Amino acid sequence: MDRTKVLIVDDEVDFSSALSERMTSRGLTVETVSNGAEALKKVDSGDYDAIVLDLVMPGMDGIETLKRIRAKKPELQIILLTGHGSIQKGVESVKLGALDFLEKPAELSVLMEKIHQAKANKMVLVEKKLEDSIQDILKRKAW
Amino acid sequence: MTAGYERARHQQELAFFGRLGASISHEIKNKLAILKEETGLINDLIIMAGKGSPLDISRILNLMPRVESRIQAIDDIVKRLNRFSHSVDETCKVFDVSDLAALVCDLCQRLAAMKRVKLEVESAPEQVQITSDPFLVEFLLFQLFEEAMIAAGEGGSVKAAVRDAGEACEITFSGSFSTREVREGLKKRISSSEDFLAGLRAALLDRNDPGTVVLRLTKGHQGV
Repeated sequence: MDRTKVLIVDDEVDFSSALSERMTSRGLTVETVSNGAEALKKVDSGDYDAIVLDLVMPGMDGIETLKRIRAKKPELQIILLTGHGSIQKGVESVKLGALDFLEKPAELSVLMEKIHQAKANKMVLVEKKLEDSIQDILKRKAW
Repeated sequence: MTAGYERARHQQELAFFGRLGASISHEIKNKLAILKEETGLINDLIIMAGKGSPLDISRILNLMPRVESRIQAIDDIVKRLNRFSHSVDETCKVFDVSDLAALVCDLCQRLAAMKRVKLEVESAPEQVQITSDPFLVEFLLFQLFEEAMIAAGEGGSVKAAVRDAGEACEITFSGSFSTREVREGLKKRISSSEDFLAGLRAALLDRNDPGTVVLRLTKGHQGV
């Protein structure tokens, strides 16, 4: 089975590198970037199963990054992390398509569960997209 | 002063207090998150050793000073929060302006990082003491810092240099901003800003120097 591939987006480099190391030791393939603009570039070129995204970052914040990623790759699953503890921001992010919203400091076991859920969700969406494409081709050919 | 003015100013001061409180709590949360991951890493290494992997002592020894410095950083943030919280204890107090300006600058560092602006204070060579309301001076300094950072824009810089000017203390804010923008911005931020400054026996001086705003704080003051 492919290793689960995760992108961590957080301006606190010490946080993302420590988290990355812990996730890697648990069998994940992890990359890190420190801002939304770099995340968008990575999403263009990489095939991630989940994105762990900080809410508050200089420049493009988590919500804006979430919107832009969803516009490019709607099947990509995003988990927001924040130190704010704002339920309102959590609800907003889920309405915008985030898988979930966790408050820092988050339990790694909980985050890992969300990542595995993200991978499963993504597979379902990708399969559905493929099925729909096949149906579309069949319909056009029948027509 | 009208009741309306008092209410508006009171609301602005409360908003300032709440906003800094929220920012500091966010800073603490972020540092705690890093601490959690770094101690989690140490825990992982020990657990892996228990399962038969060789114990990476050098890695653990490498991580321990980072954990200690993280704890120290959190303690420093809490000390700043404590100092800021206690600034409302007295409305008329003798204090060193460089010290207070440095505290406000530290409290604004997260905001500066978010705006990608370099923010610093240059203390006077000797203490410059004034008698005033420390919380209101912090409130004023914060508004000036934030307005200057907004005017400076991403990649810009703001510096506040404190100096003894005889009967007063002068703080010169300089940087990559327009003087007019900062002065106009301050008027919008603080209700009846001229009355507020007068009450603090403070004034914004016009030195006709682009990219600078000078705040003058008279040394003797009886509180607003």
